[in-house]
This record gives sequence, C-alpha cells and structure tokens, in this order.
Amino acid sequence: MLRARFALLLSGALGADEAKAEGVARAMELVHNASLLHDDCVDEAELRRGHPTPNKVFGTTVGLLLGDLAFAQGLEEAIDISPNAPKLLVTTVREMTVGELQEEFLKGATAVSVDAYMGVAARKTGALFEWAGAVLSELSPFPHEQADPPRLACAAGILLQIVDDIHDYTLSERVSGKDEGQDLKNRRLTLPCIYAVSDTASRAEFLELWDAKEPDAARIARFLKDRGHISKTREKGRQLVDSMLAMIANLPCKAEAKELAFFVEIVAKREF
Amino acid sequence: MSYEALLRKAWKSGDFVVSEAEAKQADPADAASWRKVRHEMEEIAARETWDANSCLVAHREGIMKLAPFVKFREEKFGAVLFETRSEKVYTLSPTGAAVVREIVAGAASADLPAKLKEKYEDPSGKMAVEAASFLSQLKEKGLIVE
Repeated sequence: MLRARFALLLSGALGADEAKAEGVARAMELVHNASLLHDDCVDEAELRRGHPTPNKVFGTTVGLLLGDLAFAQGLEEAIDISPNAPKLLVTTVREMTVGELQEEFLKGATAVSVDAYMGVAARKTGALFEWAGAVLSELSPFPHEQADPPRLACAAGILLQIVDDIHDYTLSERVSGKDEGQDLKNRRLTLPCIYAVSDTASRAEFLELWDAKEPDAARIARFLKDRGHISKTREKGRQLVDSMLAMIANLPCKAEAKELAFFVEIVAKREF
Repeated sequence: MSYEALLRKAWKSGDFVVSEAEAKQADPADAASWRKVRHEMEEIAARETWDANSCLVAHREGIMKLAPFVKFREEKFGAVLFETRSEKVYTLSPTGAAVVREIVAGAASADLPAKLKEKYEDPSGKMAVEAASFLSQLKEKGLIVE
C-alpha cells in the first residue's frame, strides 16, 4: 500500500484535509490495483502478493472485469475529492495506458535507452503519483509552489518502478510475493539490463545470456549484480531521491515533511 | 497466423478457417512488422522523456528548469508548454521547441547557444537571436526558473 502511504504523508506535509486525502489514497490504490489485475491477465501471472491471482483462480475474463470494476471505483472516489480530480484522473489513466502500450511495443527490444526507460516509467507508474500530487496541491491551504508536489510525486513513482525492476532480479518469490523473473519471461529490458547492454564490457556476454534459447534468470541476476549494473540502477534511484528531498524541503508542514523524506529513503532502500 | 496472412489465405481459397498447424506458423510479414513497430517505439520512447527529465534535474542548481506545475509536450501538431493550474497552453515555434528541449535536458543558460549550434544549422544567426529573446519571455512569464 505504498501509494496510499505516500498520498497520506504528502497530504500531511501540505496540510490538506484528511478525509479528502484518504479519498486520494483509496483512488490511487483502486486504479493501481486495476492495472495489476489487467497486467496479471496479460502476463498470465499466477502469484501476486503471495496469493494466487484472480485470473489463475477464476480465469482471464473475471480478472479483466475485476480490473474494469476497480478502475470505475477509483473514478468514483475521485468525484468526492474535488471538481478537478476526476478530469485529471481520466488524463492520468490515459497516460498510464500510453506508458503500458509503449512498454508492450518495446518487448523484445534491446536498443532501449535509459531515457526511454525513464520516460515510460514516468507514464506507466509516475503518472498516478503525479495525479495525487496535483490534487493534494489544490487541497493545500498553504503556499507550497517550490515543492512542486506533482513533480515530486511523479519522481516517487519513477523511483518505485526502478526499485521494483531491481527486485525482479534480486528478490525471491517468497519475499516479493510474485512470480520471479517476469521481466525476462516477458522480454522486457529494464534498467539493470539497459545498463548491461550499454556497457561495452558487458554487452556481448549479457546479450548471449538474454538471447539464449532457455535464458537462465538466476545467471542473469548474478551477472547484473557482479558487473555492477544493479548498483548503477540504485544510483539512478538515488538521483531521484536527492531531487525529491530538495522538493520536500519546501513543503509547508515541516514535521510531516520529515516523515515523507524518511519514507522516500525507505522506498529507495527496501528489500521487500 | 496474422490477420494479414488470414486475408491472403481467404483471398486465395475463399475460406477463413485456420487449422491448428497454420495458426502456429510464424508469418515472416508479422515478424517484420513487429520489428518495424519496435524500432519506431524505441525512437518515440527515447524522445518522450520530458517528465522524467524534469524530475531528475529538479534539485540541481545553476541550470534552467521548467517552473513548478509547467509541463512540456511534443505532439503531432507541434510542441507546447502548459501551466497545469491555470490550464494555459503556449504553442511553440520550432526554435522555441528546440530551446525548451535543451532546458528539459538540463542545460545552463550560458551553454544554450552552443548546444543549439551543435544540433541545428543556423547560417543567418537568426536562431541564436530568437532563442535569446524566447528565453527572456519564458522567464518573464514564469514558465522557467534558474
């Protein structure tokens, strides 16, 4: 429930109304879970958060319909937040979908740049966070322009995506609660692998492992770790954290802003 | 079997029934189409990095940045800046778009003329003059900060 937690902490740091902030948190989680329900259908995933997925238990049709229902409920939540919230959420869902489509068309590609990865992450993950930042900013009674809550929140979303993509190679199924090696299985080149491909010393060996008839996920994970590409990915995350901390320092409610800063550090370092 | 291949088959044989074996056949046209689309998407995704770049440079000092709540977008009809709170949209000329692209990428104002010269031919020197004037307008309107 990282999204909900982020929304509530940001709301506290902006001094926004608590009840409305809870609505933002619920809407975020509903829309996010809608996208997970659909993703699990597309990926034919069997495990999510340590439990069998709805598509595994009830079939793809039910999985898709549950996702649609969750989207609709997320939009319903937005209606009660503010006049602008539903309109912004519709634009957000479009951005999320564009990001997912871009990612879909990039499956199997090996010429994905770091910039392209970051741009896709800003859409498919950052956009929903950005929505929360924009809506909570409207609800804040205090001056806070320099904190730029929408941009701050977008950065949080991109950071979360980077950490998730690291975890796909570093966490076991038991810890992550989801199927291991999904990115490899779906031929999706994420940031650690993009660094491997763009490093002249690693490129050839990495592509051999990646393009093998039966790619060995554990071996790829070890390669990425041993050649420093996981560390380099964490450094990219660190750049985002530094950016976010600078923006957080401008939030009006200082005690709550400190909690948000601590949360951002936890998100960057988490191993679960 | 791709839709294209099915149409070709139907045109030849008059039937739309696909056998299991045919369904499993890789269609070279399919693979080529996919490669083309993937290549195009690599270029599109590499271009559309505005929001991510803004997030990365937000804390850096001594460079120009999009002001808070300002976004940059390049659409088919041209490039725009929009202020998300007032919903004001500013359409950009090609020179304007080139300037904002450099800003989003994290250029310092002193480096801007050189960066533009690197990428664009400007024999008359008009671009450099337009860029400087445009930069002042952006600062005046509060669309960029330094």
